[in-house]
Amino acid sequence: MIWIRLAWRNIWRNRLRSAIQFTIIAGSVFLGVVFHNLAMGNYRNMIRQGTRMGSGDVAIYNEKWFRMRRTNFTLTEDDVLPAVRKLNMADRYFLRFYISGYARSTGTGFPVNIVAMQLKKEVKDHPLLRGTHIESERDIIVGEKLARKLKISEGKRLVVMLGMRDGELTGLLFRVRRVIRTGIEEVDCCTAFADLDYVRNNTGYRGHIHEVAILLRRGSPDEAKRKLNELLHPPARAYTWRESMKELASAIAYDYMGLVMFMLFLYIVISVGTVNVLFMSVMDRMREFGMLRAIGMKPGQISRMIFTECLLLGATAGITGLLLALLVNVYLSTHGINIEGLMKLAGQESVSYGGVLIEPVIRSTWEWKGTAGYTIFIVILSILASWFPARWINRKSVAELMRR
Amino acid sequence: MKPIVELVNVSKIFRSGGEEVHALRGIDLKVERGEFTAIAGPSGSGKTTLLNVISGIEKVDGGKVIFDGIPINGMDENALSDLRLHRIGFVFQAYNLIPTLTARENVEFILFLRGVGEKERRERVEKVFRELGIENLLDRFPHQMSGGQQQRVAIARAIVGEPDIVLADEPTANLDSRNSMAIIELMKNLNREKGITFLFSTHDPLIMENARRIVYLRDGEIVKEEWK
Repeated sequence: MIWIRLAWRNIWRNRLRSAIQFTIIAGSVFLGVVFHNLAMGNYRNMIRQGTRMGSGDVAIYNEKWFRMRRTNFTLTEDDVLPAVRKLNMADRYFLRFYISGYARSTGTGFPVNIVAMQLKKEVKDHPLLRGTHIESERDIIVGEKLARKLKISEGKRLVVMLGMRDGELTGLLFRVRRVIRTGIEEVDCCTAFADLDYVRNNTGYRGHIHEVAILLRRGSPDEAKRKLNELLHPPARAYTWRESMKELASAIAYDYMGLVMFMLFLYIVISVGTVNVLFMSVMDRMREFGMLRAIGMKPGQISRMIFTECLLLGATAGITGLLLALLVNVYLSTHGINIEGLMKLAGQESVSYGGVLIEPVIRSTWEWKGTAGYTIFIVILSILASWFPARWINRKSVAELMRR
Repeated sequence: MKPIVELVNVSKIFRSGGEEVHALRGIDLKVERGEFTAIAGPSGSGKTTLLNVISGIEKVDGGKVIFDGIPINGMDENALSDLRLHRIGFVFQAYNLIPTLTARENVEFILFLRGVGEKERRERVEKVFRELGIENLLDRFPHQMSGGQQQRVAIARAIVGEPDIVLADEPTANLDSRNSMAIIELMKNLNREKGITFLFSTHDPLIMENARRIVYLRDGEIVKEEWK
């Protein structure tokens, strides 16, 4: 108890210095936890958007199509759907068929990537198509730039020339149901979303698909992938979103590196700051340490004394920083930060990152493992910082300390 | 009976900016148990250095320091700390109490470092305070006490562990004559009644009068010894 009493009173002895050290530690924990949870919330949002727009949490492809993206490397629904139904982790799944063609309007023509999907089902979930009212199998949703190039608008007709399975050409007539502006260049300029059965039935690919995008109800994508691959037969193969949306995975990894750099910067600030404040505190008390050594205190006990001070200050500051961060996180996880104004300021109506549309409201998440790990790491770091001044003081002779 | 402290041809040199200062030159000194000895001499004569080499705070450059028959020259820091903690009591000129601890805690700290249990610590501290007549100071912090009171607490800290010897470096230098006499009387009583050995440095003639033995130092050498 005497160690703690002594440490506690020493902390109060120089309040300004202790307050500086407390602020450095608490501030680092606060900033670290808030930014970590905000970043994790943002990544989660990006992944959620990405998996709903793209390949789901886990997807099934013909492995050749996955590598080469050639239309004829398909799977049949009979090949894959039994496995998907057996997977008791799936919440929903979507069938997709991808084919490139040439879109023609009355005046002009341009290449187009057709994403053939179960439109009536997908418009309920898909972030880009949500809210579209689909009436007929000939309805098509077109990217804004493509519509401009084709000089078409909602309600107009459009013909898309497509290559058939047997090598012949066919032209499919569509009616533009909606023109969408996403901010994602490859969607806006060159993509159209059409009905799955209308496209594949009229191109000789009845019952064929390129992708089954599965949204999971529970479990991890890796676990689902493993289970699916046990149930599937080649060439059908399951891939996690990290494999099928490499651009998104890389963008998150890249962004996370930025976060790690920020954290490293915080680590350096806290280490240098704590060591500096501790050194000042120790130098001020050199004569006192000399007296303590003179009356019989061992070098190890001096270290323990400085360590206990750091432990007390580090722990209280760490807990305070954590509590403040959690309080802010409650707000940020429910209300979030609206970046719409910033986007407008930058002349953007939407922001896409890693091929995914970012929602204008960034909400933080509760990532307990990182939160606890980060807090503990900062506190331990601030405590370990006591080693330097303790070592420095213990290398001085008692007489040298007493003469100060 | 072997002396509690024996110095054989001890010398100590301080080096500063290429200059050598001989703080102690060939000191031979024996202090027996129960002595009440003053080291006297002007400023810079080597009094503090002499006390410091006896306690192992300063390393000697020549000669031998023997404590209760054991040479301490080659001891490591931890062994020297143990020696000071268990066998030597210290009283400093500037009192040197720990400012963040109360008088009780300052005195108790020595016993705590020795590993004495809490109950025994409390009893021994209160007993010492009673014996010195300073029970009223128990819960005061150093800044709440006068110099004389702080020095009394420092003496309590020095004797609470019942050391073999108390080394007091100019214990009355910061006190007025009334407090100085009170402190020297207190030390004398402890020496007479409890047999505690005191070795203290001073240049105050009033204090020297009370010592039973006076060792005079000048320029790091013993120039005279007086027994009363």
